[in-house]
Amino acid sequence: MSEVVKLENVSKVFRRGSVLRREYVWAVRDASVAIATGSRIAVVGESGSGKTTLARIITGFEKPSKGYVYWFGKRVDELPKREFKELRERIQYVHQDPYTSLNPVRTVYDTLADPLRKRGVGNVEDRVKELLRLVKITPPEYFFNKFPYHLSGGMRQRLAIARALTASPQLIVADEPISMVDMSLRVSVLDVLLGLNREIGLAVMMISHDIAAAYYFAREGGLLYVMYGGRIIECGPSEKVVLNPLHPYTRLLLLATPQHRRGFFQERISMMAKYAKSAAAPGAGGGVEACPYVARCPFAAPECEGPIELKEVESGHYVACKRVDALPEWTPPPWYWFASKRDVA
Amino acid sequence: MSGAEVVVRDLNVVYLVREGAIKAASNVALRVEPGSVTALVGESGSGKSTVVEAITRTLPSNARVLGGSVLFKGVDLLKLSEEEYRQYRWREISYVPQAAQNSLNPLQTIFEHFAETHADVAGPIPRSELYEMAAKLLESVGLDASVLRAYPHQLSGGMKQRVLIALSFLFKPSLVVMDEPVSALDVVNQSLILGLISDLHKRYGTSILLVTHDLPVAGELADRVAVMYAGHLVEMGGNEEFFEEPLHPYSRGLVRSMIAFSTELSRVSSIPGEPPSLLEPPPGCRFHPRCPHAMDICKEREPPLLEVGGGRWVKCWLYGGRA
Repeated sequence: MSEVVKLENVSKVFRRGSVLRREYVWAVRDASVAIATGSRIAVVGESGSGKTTLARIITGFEKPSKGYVYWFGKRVDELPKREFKELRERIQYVHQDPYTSLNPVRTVYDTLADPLRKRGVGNVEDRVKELLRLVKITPPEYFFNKFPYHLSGGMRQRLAIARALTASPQLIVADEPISMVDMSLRVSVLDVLLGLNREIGLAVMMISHDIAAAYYFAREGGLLYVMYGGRIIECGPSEKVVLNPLHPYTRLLLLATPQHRRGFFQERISMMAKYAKSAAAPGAGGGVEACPYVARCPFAAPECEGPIELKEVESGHYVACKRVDALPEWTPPPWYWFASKRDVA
Repeated sequence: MSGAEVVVRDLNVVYLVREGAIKAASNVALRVEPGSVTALVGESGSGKSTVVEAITRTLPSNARVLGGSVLFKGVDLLKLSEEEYRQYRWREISYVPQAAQNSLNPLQTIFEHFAETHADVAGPIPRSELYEMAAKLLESVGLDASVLRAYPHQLSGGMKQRVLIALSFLFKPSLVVMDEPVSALDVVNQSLILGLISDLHKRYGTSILLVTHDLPVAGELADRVAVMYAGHLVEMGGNEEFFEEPLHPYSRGLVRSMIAFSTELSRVSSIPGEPPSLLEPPPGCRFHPRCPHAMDICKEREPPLLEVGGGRWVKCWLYGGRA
């Protein structure tokens, strides 16, 4: 399987403050990611975890401070300008906010037809219809002359996805595509992204702060990446990460996700306390090399201050934690739907 | 002090805008049982904030209350003058609005917020006495008394939200209204703050009206769930019954669209269609254009909110009612 994008030990540092009080913020630290053709990846992390910076590096909006990015096997920083532009077309970014990312004075038809014409696609009308069908805006003709303000948030986001498809990409990176969409319509956006992956073999990376939504997207065959403080702290096949989480932060995140049944609330919160020291605001602690979770981690030991890297603990399942063996046994919490269906794993 | 009952009847609120009148709440009925946590659930634009703003008398200036009543301890809050309502604000009913973290004054310490609120509502009291009171409240939301000396910018979003929740309990009101109290926070803080709300509710027995778009949050915390859609209150009932068997077709769709680890993900689905414009809402039941069970009558006449037993109410022709 070939790779659309590969990141090799990529870090990104942002400077802030004046010359005299210079601060350095490591938005992404030492990330290595391979996005295979036709693969499905969900990235989960809280705000400030580096997930958006990671997406911007993958799509070429940011240059890494360290490490290398490869598109289709070619090092991006060595690409001639023309080739950079050509390859960048194949890797499309879908913005979080469908209310500002679409041109309000352009109809649905023109939103898709203009970029198609610009790219020299023939049979524009047929292609527009086809794209609208792919993102489940049907019947297409009914929507041709509508403007974005006629559409619900979910539909706008799907139109933004269709616009990304006009470039015939091999990878779509969708950054928090459902955070601004109403609840009853979120599934429709995730299902369209899932469908593009399953039906036309497009590689899709979906970024979310909600691990339940991330799992929904990556379940049955996708990969789940968990980020904290700029680092990928755990990754692997989604079922393995969700049913056998190995990093204390992944467990915290899973336990912190609200579930709809009453009666487990206090239990959920007391279980969370096992995996986080205090209510301290999330943030990256420790040195640049160290585990970013060290300040909040109840299992932290002196060795955690030293350099940390992802290690494979079972096939395809990686975790960046030196204290994996110190963690208690994990059984799916009783409120999990699949707690009663262990065979899922 | 214990929780008070609130009964909203036939509430109609519109917003006047250039294009006409937005019918944000139409014939809304809602009951907060004494001492309960009631979750008012709905998507953006469903009118849930409008309803709580009517109860707390904080509607924006272009809003007009066309009719209805909000009964609180036998008094219709909508009939009170601004001056009369001041007797209720903070003392009886406190309100934590949405994105309230931004409502703290950046030039005042947290202690000054407590002092000013107290002076405003009940006159000044000795500093030491207030300090003790504020420190105790902060402790109950997991904050150290040293926070009293801090300025808002020194606190994280989660800490600010805790301060506001503590402040809302300053006069031990009998009703606390919270609009999306955790939506701006990371999930870990969300859970912790919901835990605090639940603890405070147990300790003081206050009635809590919690507005949220997040169904799992309502499911964990609320005794009763009320659902709004496009300005109508469509269903109201006990938590377990609601999630076990939602009655209104919209509620069913909403529960089915919920993505959580406690649900069977392969059965999750969205509700086809989209919410209507409230400038010209569809006649009859406002959900009928999206409803898989829509009948002729649904397109013509607005269904009444019908009691169906077990403390459950539903606004849908499928459950009978006289045409």
